[in-house]
Amino acid sequence: MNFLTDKLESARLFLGFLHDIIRHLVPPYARFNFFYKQFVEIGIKSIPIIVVVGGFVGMVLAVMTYQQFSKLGIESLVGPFIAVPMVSQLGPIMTALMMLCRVGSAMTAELGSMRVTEQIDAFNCFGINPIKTLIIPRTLVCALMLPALTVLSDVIGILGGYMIGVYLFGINESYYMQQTRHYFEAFDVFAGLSKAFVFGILIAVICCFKGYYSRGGASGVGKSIMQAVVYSFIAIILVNFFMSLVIIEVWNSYWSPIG
Amino acid sequence: MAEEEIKPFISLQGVHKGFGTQKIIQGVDLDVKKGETLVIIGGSGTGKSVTMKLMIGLYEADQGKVLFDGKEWKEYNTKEKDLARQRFGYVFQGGALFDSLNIKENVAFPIREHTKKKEAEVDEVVKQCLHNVGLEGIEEKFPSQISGGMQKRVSLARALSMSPEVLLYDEPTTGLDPINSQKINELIVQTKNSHAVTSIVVTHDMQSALFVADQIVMLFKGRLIFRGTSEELLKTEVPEVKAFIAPAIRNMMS
Repeated sequence: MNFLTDKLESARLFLGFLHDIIRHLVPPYARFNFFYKQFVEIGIKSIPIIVVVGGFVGMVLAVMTYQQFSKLGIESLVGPFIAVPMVSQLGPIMTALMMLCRVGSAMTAELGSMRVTEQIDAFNCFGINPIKTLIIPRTLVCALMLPALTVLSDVIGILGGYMIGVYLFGINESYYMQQTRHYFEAFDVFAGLSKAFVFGILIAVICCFKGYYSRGGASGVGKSIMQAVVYSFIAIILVNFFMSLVIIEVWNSYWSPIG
Repeated sequence: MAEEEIKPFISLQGVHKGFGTQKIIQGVDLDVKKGETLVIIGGSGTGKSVTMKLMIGLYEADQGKVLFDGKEWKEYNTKEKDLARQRFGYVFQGGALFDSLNIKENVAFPIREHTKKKEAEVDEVVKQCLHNVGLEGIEEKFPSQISGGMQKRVSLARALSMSPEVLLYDEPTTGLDPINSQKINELIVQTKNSHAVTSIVVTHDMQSALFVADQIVMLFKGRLIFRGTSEELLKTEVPEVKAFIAPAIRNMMS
């Protein structure tokens, strides 16, 4: 019974939190400094890890696909096989997971620590709305930076795959490029970036919520971080699946040349 | 004028507050007059800090009314609440300084959020507030680089930066050595005299309570069991109050 009551209370808190975020999405916003700080933390400082992960994902895709495709004599298809899934699936997913580890967990830790040391109460006591100053900048910046970092990850991944395919395995460069261009659609970019945008919102909202309502000192903050990462991870995987279904439906109905 | 004098600045009327199944405050009636220093004493977990957070509208009462300046907190909309809270200063138990900001930025924070003062003016106010609490030359340090006592004084400086009408102190001397405790007590009295603020102090430090109070109230298991002056407290026959203050009085006598 207590378990059920706790879950209902959490659901009520989460809905209230979402309502507060939506209410404060319209201007006036907090000072520019609050956004700039998040832009640096979420965007700029994430670039190195996104470059490393994106590059190696592209390269390992090239190794794996070449190994299989060469048996069938279709090595020239390695290019599109890297580019299309990279842009529509792997880029947004890998970027989101990296951002969850690097930025999401840090958001929960920072807000949780602010909660248990009464810093969030201090905002309220000064008549400063903590949702507007702490949550909105994180949510908006995360939602906008995730697609931007996904583009970076896609480009680096495709480049990594190209280097391995062309220079290590010796696939003919012009075939490689021709096949990539042939199978690659602008719709794939749209699909990937729309997912990245939604993942950015999911990460920010879940991680901020868990931090904002942390309780129980250091161990409580630790538990909140663990829950934030697990819940966000599950949310990303589930939403990716359902968005993929919807996107395929949109593709078949409106975009596909034979649709 | 006569009505103004008798109208309480902050008023709790039959207030109940609980968290989950736990009842913290059970039917508290309490008035705070403008300009007085009210000290709330009581053991740990009796609802002292909750009472203070009810007074500033951080918590909503489950039953009863909490009024500030004649208006119930529930009647304020979000914007009005934010404006009303700007009339308060809050000195938190642990300081609650923003650890990503240095001392100057901490003290300047409410000013930058609520006023359009130029940087030079902000600097001047920060300098004056830190001077008032006896701290100068630490503007560039971060909260983690100063002692607990200094953090509480910075917290007081930050609370003073917007010239509040009400100052709330949550356990201001807890965890401090006797010298720093006395410094804080003197600051509370000095601030009341120089800024004419209404002060509410939550503490279980009897020496501090007797030093700063105009009125003392005691909470016991979420109920108000005593209200009076320091002299009346020392002479009271309420058994729970006598049991609470006896060890502290013995310590002070020895």
